[in-house]
Parts: sequence; C-alpha cells; structure tokens
Amino acid sequence: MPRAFRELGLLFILAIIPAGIAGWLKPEVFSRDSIPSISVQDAQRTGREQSVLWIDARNAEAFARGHVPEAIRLTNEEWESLLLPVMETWTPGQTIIVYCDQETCNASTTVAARLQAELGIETIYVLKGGWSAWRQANQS
Amino acid sequence: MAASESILMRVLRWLLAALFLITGALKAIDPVGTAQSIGNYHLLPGAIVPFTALYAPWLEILCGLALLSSQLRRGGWLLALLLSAVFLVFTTSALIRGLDISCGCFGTGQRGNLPWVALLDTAMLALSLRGVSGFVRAPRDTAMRSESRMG
Repeated sequence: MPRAFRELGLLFILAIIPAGIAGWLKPEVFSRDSIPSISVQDAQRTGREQSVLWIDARNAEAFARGHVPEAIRLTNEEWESLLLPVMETWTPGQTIIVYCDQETCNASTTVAARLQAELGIETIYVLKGGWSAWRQANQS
Repeated sequence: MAASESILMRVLRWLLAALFLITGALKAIDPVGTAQSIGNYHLLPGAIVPFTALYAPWLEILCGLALLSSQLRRGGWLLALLLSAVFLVFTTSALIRGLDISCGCFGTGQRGNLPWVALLDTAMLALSLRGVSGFVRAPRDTAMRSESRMG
C-alpha cells in the first residue's frame, strides 16, 4: 500500500508539468471572465434606450412554444447552421442578450462565451432567470 | 499482481484506461471550455477553476497511462478511485440541485445526460475499488500462503 501512495504522489507531481505548459500556451484560461448577467428590468430598459439583439439558446421546440419578441435562435449544438442568420441580423456595436430556460441552465452562458471568444463581441449579456423570468415579468 | 489478474479484470482495466485517456485528452485540448464546464457546477471558487481545468485533464491522462503500465498501476488504481469519486460528487450535486448543464465529461458542447453520467461514475468507482482491493489483499494472501507452506 505505501508503494501505491508513492506512485499516486508521483502521478500528482508529473501532471504539474503538462498542466503548466498548457497554462503557458493558453493563458486565456486565467482571463476567462464570466459573462455578465442582466436582469429582465434592466434588459427591457436597455432595449428601450438602444438596439438589442435577443438570442434564444433553447431548442426549436421550446422556441416555438414562446420566445422574447424578435429573438433569434442560436445554440451550441446547431452553431454552424444558425450562426449566419445571427451575423446577418447583428450590427457592430449592438448589445446582445442571450437567454435559455431558467436560472439553472447554462446554454446561454455557453453561447454567449462562444460569441465573445470566436467573434470578439464585447457587449454581451446573459439574461438572469432566462425565459421563465422574462415570462413572469411580462405576465404580471 | 499482474499474474493473478483475471482476463475480465484486465479487459475492464484497459477500458477504464481508454476512458480516462479519451476524456482527459478531450478536456486537455480545450482548457478554456473545460474551465467553463467546471464553473457551471458552481462548486469551486472561481479562482481555483482555471487551475483545475489545466491540471485535472492531465491527471486523467496520466491515470489512463498508469493503468496500462506495470510500474505505476497501483497508483493508477488509486488515482482512478479518487477521480471517479470526485466526478460522482460533482454529477450527484448537479442532479440534486437540478442544474440544467452539460456534464463536460467528454469536452465541451456535449449535452450529457446527468443520470447516465452518474451511473457511469458509479461503475467507474466500483471498478476502481475492485482494482484497489486487488493489491491491498494481494500482499496479505501471499503472506498467508507462505505461512501455510512453512507450517
């Protein structure tokens, strides 16, 4: 058993070397900023003050059941087929707000992070509470 | 230990090694995405996430290689046990909290079915336990055999 722990310790130490090289090659992993979130109220206010592009990161079925007016779909899974319409609609400088189902979904963060990383879009937010928060705010 | 290993156990060890090698490599090539996946679990402080995203995939790769080697196999089994337990804690906590997230087990972008992932983690944990018990028991059995031969 002590031999097993010695081997385990060696494996832990060995892993530091490639991990360190990977960190040196990909320093952006440390500057990975989480995408800022925006409340429904602030999002609506922003929408009144400036042009906002709403992106729905849910599946087609959920989108068909209901979505934010003028929102267009973009998901991580259908990125290649859905990105072109998004790029044709978006104008440089326009704020993007991405949403998914609810607070505990991460599809919106994934899509927003990908838009930020691959296209360099800076003014991008994730809607706090997602579609359910939007629906609740607009029902009452 | 290698001589007393059954064919079934050997095949299962190879499968486990392959699984760790594949999942580790998929995560290692995209540390930014891996950091995003780890962050989605909301279990680790943000400052630790990038380091975990860089380090954990290489631990998985080394675990796979150690399981295939004859020199570091015991350490490989212990590491497999540790990693499987950590994966199970992450997956179960996400299930309990009802998080709608991709597991990040096979790199980013894959929408893993969390209950199935938890089942896979449990199977990996059980197999690792069996592997560890193999070398914990082996020296005791050898001692008992030599005692009975002397007696």
